[in-house]
Amino acid sequence: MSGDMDDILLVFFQECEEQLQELERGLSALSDGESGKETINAVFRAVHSIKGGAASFGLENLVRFAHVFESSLDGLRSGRVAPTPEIVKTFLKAMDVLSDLVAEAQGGAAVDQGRIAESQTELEAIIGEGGGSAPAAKQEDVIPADFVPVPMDFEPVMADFDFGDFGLEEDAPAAAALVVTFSPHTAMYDRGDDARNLLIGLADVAVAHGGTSTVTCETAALPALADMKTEQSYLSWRVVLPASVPEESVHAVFDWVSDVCDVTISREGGSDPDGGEPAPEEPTPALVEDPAPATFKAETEPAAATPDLQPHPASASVVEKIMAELPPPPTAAASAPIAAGNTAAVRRPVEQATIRVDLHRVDDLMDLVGELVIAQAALESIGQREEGGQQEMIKRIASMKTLTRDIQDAVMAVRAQPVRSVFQRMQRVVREACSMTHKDVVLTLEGEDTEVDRTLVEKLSDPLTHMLRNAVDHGIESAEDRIAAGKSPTGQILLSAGHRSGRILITIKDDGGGINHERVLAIAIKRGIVAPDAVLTDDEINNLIFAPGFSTATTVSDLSGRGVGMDVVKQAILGLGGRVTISSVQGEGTTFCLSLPLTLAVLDGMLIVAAGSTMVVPVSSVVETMMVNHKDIYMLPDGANVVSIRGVCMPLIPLASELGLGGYGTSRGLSEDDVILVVENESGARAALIVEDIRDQAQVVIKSIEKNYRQMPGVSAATILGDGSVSLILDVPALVANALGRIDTRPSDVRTGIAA
Amino acid sequence: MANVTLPERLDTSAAFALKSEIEQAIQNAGGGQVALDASGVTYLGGLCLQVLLASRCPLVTPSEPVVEAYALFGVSTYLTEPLAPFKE
Repeated sequence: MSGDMDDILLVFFQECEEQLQELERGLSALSDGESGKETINAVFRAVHSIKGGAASFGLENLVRFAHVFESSLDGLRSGRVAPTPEIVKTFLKAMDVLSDLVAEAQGGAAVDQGRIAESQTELEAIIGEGGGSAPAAKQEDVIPADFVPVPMDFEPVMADFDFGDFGLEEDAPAAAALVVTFSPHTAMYDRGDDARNLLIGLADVAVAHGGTSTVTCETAALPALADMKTEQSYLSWRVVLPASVPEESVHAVFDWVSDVCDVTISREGGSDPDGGEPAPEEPTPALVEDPAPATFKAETEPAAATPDLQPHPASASVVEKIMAELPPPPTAAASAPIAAGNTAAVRRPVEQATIRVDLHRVDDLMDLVGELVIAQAALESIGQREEGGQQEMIKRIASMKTLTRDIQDAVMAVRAQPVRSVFQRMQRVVREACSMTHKDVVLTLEGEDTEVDRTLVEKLSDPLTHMLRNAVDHGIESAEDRIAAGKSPTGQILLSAGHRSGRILITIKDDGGGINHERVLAIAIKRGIVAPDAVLTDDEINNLIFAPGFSTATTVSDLSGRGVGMDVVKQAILGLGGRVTISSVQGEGTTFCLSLPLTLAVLDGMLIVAAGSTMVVPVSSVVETMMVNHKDIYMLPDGANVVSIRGVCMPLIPLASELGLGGYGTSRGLSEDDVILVVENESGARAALIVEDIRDQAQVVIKSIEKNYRQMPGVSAATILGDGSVSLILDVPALVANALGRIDTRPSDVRTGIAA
Repeated sequence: MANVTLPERLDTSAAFALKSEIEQAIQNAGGGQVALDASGVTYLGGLCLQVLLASRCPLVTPSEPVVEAYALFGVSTYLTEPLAPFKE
């Protein structure tokens, strides 16, 4: 049953995600001065749906806040309140709190109570502004009839709301013991697993972190021997682990049984009399002693001022009763953390394992598969024919090839998602960064409809957050400085996405002060990142901000400047097979360019031969191919070669020796048969690769070489060719960067993108 | 006092037989105390633990593995003193 519940909950969270996006869109429209009835209704609907869903799952905190939010939006809907910029700002803030509460319900970090209270007070002010109907009286008609299972003990007038206890509680958990309660379902034993194994696992975890586990068994549910079914599970356990145990390792213990065992993990409240270690031999874990429910009661205690407005007079106990009946927990032990609300029943963070796909995309895929079946039948019939099938066969195989490619595109389209979901989240990031730094910045989004592989969309979120925070904190100057520089006091950041030659290009452009080269260099020297006497080009200085340990901030701010920022961003982007480039004009702003592969699975490759083995160069990075003309090759004083192609010099890279493949390369010199591939990296820097031959062009499936072997310089991945042999996919940008880095005499107008 | 000698392996598959055996013994004892001889037990699983606890019968001469298992399950108290009689 709880499995079903989890499924429904999962759908609810997906819907929340959509509703929040809807809300964001609506509020953005409102802030742009578009206050049509449709927009307001959409916003209202979004909050209402979240509230309704949350109520049926007993997500108390979420319902409570959504309700205030909804009430205040009602003022807007009925026209009592005008959507002034201040009010929209309040709503945006409330939306942020709401989405955090959703995340909290999903098992994320607990939301700061102060923030909720602050936003709530602001919303209540709006309700008050709406005047006319007393908020409390309104409450009843706002709640729709279909809105049953919630304890509607919420109190709109809460001027003296006391959050004192919560502050305490939030400070404590860091050093608090980890409390795991679990009750196996009968199905777990059916499956051949045993609670014993889980307890052993937990004991091992405790020992691994230098402590011991304290186990108490809850036997209250155990019936008399005659009444019990031997195959049914009655017992549940409460295990207290040392504070040093991370929650992840506990999750790992329950990995295999998460669907057949209810687990809650929480940090013991610091105020527990015996310091989070319950008496080991205590027969039943006395939940009443847990500080959390008590705090909870205090919180929901109706304000004395308006007791008669409560739908249920004894609301606090009703809450608990309903909560106890809600989702899975069959035992009192498991229901406690949920009722506690704040100590949070930390569910395992739900990984979104499903996607929503437009039906027509699935239909397209279906059509193509149908075609494939026909093509296969055709091939079969040719195979059975006695003679003269050769020609026909080749024709069919060619059409099958097109088909395969179409299917691949269709599958990619199914996985593709617009970057909008990530981009819209960034509005919030900038908003928060602005309020922390007291700057006024407008984030403009472009190309939100650009579609990218799902995995990429999700992984983009963190690096983008980091970069935008940096842009607000370090990029955009303070309002006074901006006015002094003759700019508008409001900063502008442009976040755009688009496709460019088989890759997705994301740019973050601010109109701030640009990178201060002297300062960056000075700091890099001070921190020992570069030698004091180093002579660096502007590009190289720009790239210093990606160096580990680099931070220009003189003081560590809340926002950025911990010196882990851009280094991590770069690693994340590299991990996705992408690259970061910076361009900056002092006084005019900085532009970060992220270039990422569209998909992580397949690429168009050119099969070439170097040192006798076949390798793959991504077609997207090949500009042209040509035969070597010895007259065009010049040797530089340091021994490196450049080749002049139509008057443009570029470094010559003998691929075989570059990759350290002996026997060929250096000793052999250039042969007449060699071919030059002119390759280019994202920022347009070119180099000439010398290869022995070009074999073919083909689509290759990317297999990670890092995962299966280890990272190799100059090689980005491996693939398996049609004949079954393994072949390396070359990392062209790294090769180019390497070659450019070695030759210091490069013309100054070459825009280099030293990525490595 | 009647004694039930417990089998060597008390895993999930042994739970049903264990329950019947103890029930049988209780019936035979006709209200008298039944003690469970756990000296030969080498493995104790969760379901059998439930049966042992639910039987409210004292264990006699528990083997080392049984003592360890009771500690692991956090029910060491019931080694010496069975669960309080079931109240309807």
